[in-house]
Amino acid sequence: MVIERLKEKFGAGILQSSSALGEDTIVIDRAQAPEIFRTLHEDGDFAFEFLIDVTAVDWPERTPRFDVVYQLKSLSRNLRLRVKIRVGAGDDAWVSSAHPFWKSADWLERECFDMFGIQFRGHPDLRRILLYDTFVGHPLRKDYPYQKRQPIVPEIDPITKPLRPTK
Amino acid sequence: MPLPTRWSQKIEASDPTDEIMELQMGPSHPAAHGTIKFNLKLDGERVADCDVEVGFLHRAFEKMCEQGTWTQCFPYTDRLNYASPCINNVGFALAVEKLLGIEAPERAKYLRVIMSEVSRITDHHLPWDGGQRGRRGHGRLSHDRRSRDAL
Repeated sequence: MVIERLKEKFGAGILQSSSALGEDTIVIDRAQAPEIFRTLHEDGDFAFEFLIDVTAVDWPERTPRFDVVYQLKSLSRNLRLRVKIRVGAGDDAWVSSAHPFWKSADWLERECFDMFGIQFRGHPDLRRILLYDTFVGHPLRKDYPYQKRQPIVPEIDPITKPLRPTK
Repeated sequence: MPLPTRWSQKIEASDPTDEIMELQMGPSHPAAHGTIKFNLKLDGERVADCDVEVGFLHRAFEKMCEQGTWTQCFPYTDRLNYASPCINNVGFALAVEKLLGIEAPERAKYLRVIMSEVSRITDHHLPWDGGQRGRRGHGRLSHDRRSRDAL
């Protein structure tokens, strides 16, 4: 029902939609994202006041590599919606920030930037949140090895290189 | 390390003869539960600005959960909230069941609710100096029974 009304309003802006397992998902066009977010946030029919999460999925073999996923909830109408935007890699990894509409997007988008490297244009203060500032790379991308260690203080093995001479 | 743009803004102290003191209330602090760092700008005793640095407890759960099967994610969801482990396990089990299209047996549902509520109680009664009242014992017993029922 939400999806039908969105399709009436935006037509070509909604590239795909699905409704499975009781959850609604729409894939939207990046250029129309600010308008669609404004409608979802302010329009009385939808009234999605709560942005629960902003995250991304890395599909390394697909051409638009990332899927930026927004989970929305409407408290007054008891609805949930998942909004996806497909972005590519490198210079193409950007979306417009959702911060003008939902203030929680501040930290949520910082986490998405930290883990995936997706730029959020229009974000007031885009910097790393969970990792330290001089960290190199974006860990949740599929090409970042999970066993790689990047300690900010170099690790010394106390067995092979003891700090004090053993007697 | 470049300063964040908002943090570099100049703040004036209320008394023109004073200046703002920058203080770091570091990751381990007796007054703050958990590891979180507050970069404070103090004007006397008043906090004029506070930049919060989080991430000291980031343990890379999402990356590690990608490396195994779904049953291997339960130790990670256990440790998402170390005070109430069962609730996050139940959440993950519900998500897996939704994707598989299976439904848990009646007894498992009752057990989940009971253990989640017990976890909630222990979470609300978190003592500062470590678990009393057999909190750890409750957690382990319920995890085994619940995952056996779900499977």
